[in-house]
Amino acid sequence: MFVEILAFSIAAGLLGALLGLGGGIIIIPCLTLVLGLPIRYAIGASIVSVIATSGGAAGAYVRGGLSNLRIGLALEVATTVGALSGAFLAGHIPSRWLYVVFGLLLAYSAVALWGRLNLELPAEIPHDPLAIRLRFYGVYQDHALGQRVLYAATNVLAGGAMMYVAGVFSGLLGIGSGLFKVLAMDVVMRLPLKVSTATSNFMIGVTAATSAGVYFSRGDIHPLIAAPVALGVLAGAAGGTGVMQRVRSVTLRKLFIPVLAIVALEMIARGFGQ
Amino acid sequence: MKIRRPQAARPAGLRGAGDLRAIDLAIGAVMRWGVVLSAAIIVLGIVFYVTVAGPRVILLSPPGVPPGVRTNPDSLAAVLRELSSRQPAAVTDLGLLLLIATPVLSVAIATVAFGLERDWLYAGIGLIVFAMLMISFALGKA
Repeated sequence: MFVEILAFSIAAGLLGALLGLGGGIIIIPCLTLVLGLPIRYAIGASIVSVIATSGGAAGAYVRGGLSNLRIGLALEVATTVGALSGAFLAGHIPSRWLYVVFGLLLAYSAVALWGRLNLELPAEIPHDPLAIRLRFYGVYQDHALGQRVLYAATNVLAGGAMMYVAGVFSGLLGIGSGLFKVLAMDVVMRLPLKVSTATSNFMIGVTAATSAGVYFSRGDIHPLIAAPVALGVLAGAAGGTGVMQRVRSVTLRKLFIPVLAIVALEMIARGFGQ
Repeated sequence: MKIRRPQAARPAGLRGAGDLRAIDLAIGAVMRWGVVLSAAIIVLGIVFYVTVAGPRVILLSPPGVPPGVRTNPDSLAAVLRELSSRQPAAVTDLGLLLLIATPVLSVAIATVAFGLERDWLYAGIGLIVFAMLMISFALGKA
């Protein structure tokens, strides 16, 4: 069992890092659907692994100048409050609803990404005074496109609201909800996908630590499950990060969508089957 | 208000990106080394587990304790108690706890760094996030 958990976790970490996720979205279905572990322990283990992925990848992204600390930290106000609400709620609702909510979240994400499949960089964006006040802008070097990209955020309030929701899901389901964070920055705030993914990678660690605090205090972090998950995801993520800078955003999205759709259906079926 | 820009901290080609490079790198380092250290302790913890409890524990399924039963440590004090009584999971639990503490430390560093830059807006924002992290440990007991 230990070895199986470790193997699944390595795979989840690799895929997670490529997609800018914590891997929780992949590891929770593996632990529950395939290995039959209780979902609360799966959530506890996953939330810890999310911190590992975030930390393991943060170094590389930060050196590449892709992540934006101001944007990340300011939006963390919304996600940590959300994570507190979600983690508190998780202790008080039945497990089958956790499966269903998880599945619906994935299904929605797949649909949302589908609509933006071929956009490489955001076009002209509307001016947002709050983005200027919070200094939500920056510049990075895109190696795949071979140019420097200047960017600024828009719709900061809407993005923040979505970040709160991302935090709730993180606390409720033990995921970093990097996916939702990327959508908030990429789709709503119109930041470049690579900046969104890298900033999300820093943020998921902080959000996950908030949720993990609640789960740890509740005794839901099982060492024999959490240890192989954390180590496996970390190893997988280390492998995935190096590849990320060399692939195009469109390729990332194409890789992303079918995975989401399949897992979404599986989780919903599991919730109704219980 | 004019922003002070420490030239040495910023590599060429990043002009206009703000004055965040040094803080960025510090946080990246804390996150990375915190995770590496925790991972090393968790690996040691598994070795410790096997030596204390025997290799079968690793190969067989984790004990089927129903969630909600408080057999896993739920506080720093509980982890320290485990350590002193040589519980098999003690070292692993310490590593997991350190892992959870790593982002907390990175937020603390960001807050202090923004404070040193006299960026009070972002020092305040960092402080709020730090407070949320502290509250989370209390909320699990509720």
